[in-house]
Amino acid sequence: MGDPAASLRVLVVDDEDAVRDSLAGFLRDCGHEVRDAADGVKALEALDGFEADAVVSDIRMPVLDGIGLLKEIKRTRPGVEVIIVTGFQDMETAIEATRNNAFDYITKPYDLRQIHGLLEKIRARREMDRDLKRKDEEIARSRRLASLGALAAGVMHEINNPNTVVLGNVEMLRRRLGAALATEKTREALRASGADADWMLRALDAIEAGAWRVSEIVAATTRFAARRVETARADVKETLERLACDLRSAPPPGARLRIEVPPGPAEVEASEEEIRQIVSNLVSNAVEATDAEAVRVGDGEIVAAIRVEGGTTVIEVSDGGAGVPDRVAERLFEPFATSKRDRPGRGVGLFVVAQIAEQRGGGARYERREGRSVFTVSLPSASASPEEA
Amino acid sequence: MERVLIVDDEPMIVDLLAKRVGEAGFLAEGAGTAAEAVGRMRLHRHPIVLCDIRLPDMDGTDLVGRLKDENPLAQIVMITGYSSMDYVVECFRNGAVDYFTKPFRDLDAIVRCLKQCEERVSRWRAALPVAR
Repeated sequence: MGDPAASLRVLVVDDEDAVRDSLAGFLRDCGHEVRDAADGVKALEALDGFEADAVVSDIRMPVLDGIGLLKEIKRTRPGVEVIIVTGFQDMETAIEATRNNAFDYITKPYDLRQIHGLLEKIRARREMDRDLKRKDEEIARSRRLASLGALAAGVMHEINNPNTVVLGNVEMLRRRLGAALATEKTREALRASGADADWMLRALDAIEAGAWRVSEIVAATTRFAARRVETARADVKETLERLACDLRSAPPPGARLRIEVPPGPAEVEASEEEIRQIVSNLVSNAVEATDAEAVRVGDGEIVAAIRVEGGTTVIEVSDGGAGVPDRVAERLFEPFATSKRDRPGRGVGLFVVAQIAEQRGGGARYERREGRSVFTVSLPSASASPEEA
Repeated sequence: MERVLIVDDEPMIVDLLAKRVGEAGFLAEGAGTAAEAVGRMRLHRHPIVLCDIRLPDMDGTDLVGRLKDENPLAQIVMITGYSSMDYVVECFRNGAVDYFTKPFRDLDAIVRCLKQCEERVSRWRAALPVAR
């Protein structure tokens, strides 16, 4: 009793003070949040300021009786369950109550435990409804993602063809042009008319490089879009420790990585490959952000921490880089949000992180804290024993 | 001068490949659909085929089989995009001899592959008196 997760918001309606107070008192002892009213009209007023889960109402009351109250509640707040307290052997009222969609009825004299039992049923029903709603939303989201994936795959395929044409023709053009421009005679003639053979060849190289970058983006996005999301579990701590070990053997210039992990394992509901992508994308993002300026002012340390907070496992990576302006921060987890003129990477790293996290029922966010950029990814913790999974 | 059938629903790609293999001494012919490819194969019995794995009217994997039906000696080389890598094995099962991914890393490599196909077909022809 008194478990906050099990408590309901209950309105007790009865014109007899003693009865009302005793029932309200009992229900409060059960751990529920209780209000009370002396008649139907006062009950409706109370409901305006009190989002009740259930109403327990006597049948015979002045001004507005139990059935009248029941009808009005079902008309305006159909989600609220109503338990009607009927008189001894008053079958008519019982039938009337049921006909008007009361959750149940209870006859006087009643055992307080019966009311408790009915409220338990209401609570269970509401939990089930919430679960169903969540599952519906998951299915809808899965469908949306599936169709987005299909769209992405289609678009990537379409881009691939013209890109192939660009690269193929550039290759042939460079060969022909290279041969033609090899002779000093041709180069002289070009120079005379103001053109530069080397510049032309370099321009072709640039076109080719650009087109290959397009194909890399296509490849990365296609690989991601083709993922199938199945139930999985993996240990984030293991993945992070492995990454830290790799980085120690080949550290990026200037940046130092410090990790903070819990003593035991930190398993989450995601696959090893997904965890690896999240951790490595977050860390390489942090490494890229740790520029010379950050190192100069002594903020070259990257901290990767894992915290298990009950049903959620949190991965937090922070860096001492300058961060991003607000308008970019809003779109940070969208593909190609930041300009990467001088930096490597394909612009999809954080997008992939956010997508994986959301698909697995978690999330990703970015904030500035005490002069550092902090990326936080949350994932549902995997249940205690693998045998149950 | 061996005939090469180039099958791709993107005309610019057919063009690109036809230009390159033409330079290498082959006689290139293009087809934009599976139906067209089968039709042309029936007419000219191309010993060498460059075939995209995704076509509007039939899976490239199925087309390999159909082309082999028309010409069992045909050397079929597949062209695939990133999203179709799963199907490459299927093509080999149906009789394809090699594959290249789009975009082409090196057109010369494709030409070398076709030259090998050409050489293979010549050997077979020499060995089989009634070969087409």
